[in-house]
Amino acid sequence: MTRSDKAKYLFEKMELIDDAYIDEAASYRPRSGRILKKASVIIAFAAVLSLFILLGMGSLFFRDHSKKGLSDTAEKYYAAALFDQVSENHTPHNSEAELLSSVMSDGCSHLIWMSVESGKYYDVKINASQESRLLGLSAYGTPITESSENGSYRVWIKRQDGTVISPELKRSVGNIYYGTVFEYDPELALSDEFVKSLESILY
Amino acid sequence: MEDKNIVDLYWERSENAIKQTDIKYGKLLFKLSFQLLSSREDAEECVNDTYVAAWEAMPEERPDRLCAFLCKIDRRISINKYRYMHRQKRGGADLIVEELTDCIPSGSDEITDKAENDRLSDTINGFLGDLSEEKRVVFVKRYFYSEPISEISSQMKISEGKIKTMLYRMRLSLLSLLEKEGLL
Repeated sequence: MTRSDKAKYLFEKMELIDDAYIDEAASYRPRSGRILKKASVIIAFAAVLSLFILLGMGSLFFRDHSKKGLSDTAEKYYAAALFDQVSENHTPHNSEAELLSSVMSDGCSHLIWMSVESGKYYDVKINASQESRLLGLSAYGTPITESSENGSYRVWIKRQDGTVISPELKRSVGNIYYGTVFEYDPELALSDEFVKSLESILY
Repeated sequence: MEDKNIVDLYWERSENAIKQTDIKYGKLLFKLSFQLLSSREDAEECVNDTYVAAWEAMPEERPDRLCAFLCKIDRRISINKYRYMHRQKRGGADLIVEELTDCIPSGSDEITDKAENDRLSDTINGFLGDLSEEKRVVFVKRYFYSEPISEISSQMKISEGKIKTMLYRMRLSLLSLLEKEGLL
């Protein structure tokens, strides 16, 4: 008997397979676990994708919302309101000279603001991380195009090394002072993040 | 209808038995025959012959598993039909037989048909019993029901490549077992 004949014989003898196994194969359905596993992978993937989409939409919404709901002008007014409130509890420096004599020689960082209306200066000491945060947010305000948006306060950050930078001015050599503060016309509106930082420092 | 009720109909010699059998198992039996014969007419003829054989076998027999009982009859009839047709054309069974030559040692002696039949049955069923359910179903679908690999793959949600690999390994294991038992 050749191999082929034996194979034919074996093929025919497959009828010796137990009835239970024949029934099992006829009625077999893939386990739901396999399908569920695949389905769960697909669902998990879809969930992650949805999360990313939601986060993306959310960030877009909040960014737009912050732009629309709290416009540059509103931020400025909010910052002004902050300064109004805080100024009441601070002893003002009545002149630039008085301010400079107080803050320039102490080797500390200061947040300085001045009321345009009264010409008085105010300051609070800030730590290195607050200084770093404010400076980091200083150059990101949107440019001011209308002179009417000049606002009622001027703001500076005095660093430990004596340099003075205003967050309302573009970052350039001419806008970084040393040992003094200068009156200026704002070039940038304060960013939302900067105002939030101000709030956390002042309160 | 439950298998038990269909068997009861056979025992009552009700012609409804064949109708109910056809409703429940006609498609499966036709597929089994068609895989072997590759001919619609021949497959239909085999299915009808199966019903006649089942009618004649009962009431002497009372199968516990009607599905397997009918499939075995249908397969036997289809193989006989295949043998008859074999000289005229190649059917789907040729491919299955070719695969099963893997289980046949090249220098083996003749197979004794009678005494070793039970041992062969025990060995094959012992082999199947040791397999996982998934592998066993793949094996039975392929070598009992003669289903195409593509269809098994589709039904079981397993890639064709994996099915082929599973079958190849199972054939080698069966060969090893048959050699060990001195059956082939």
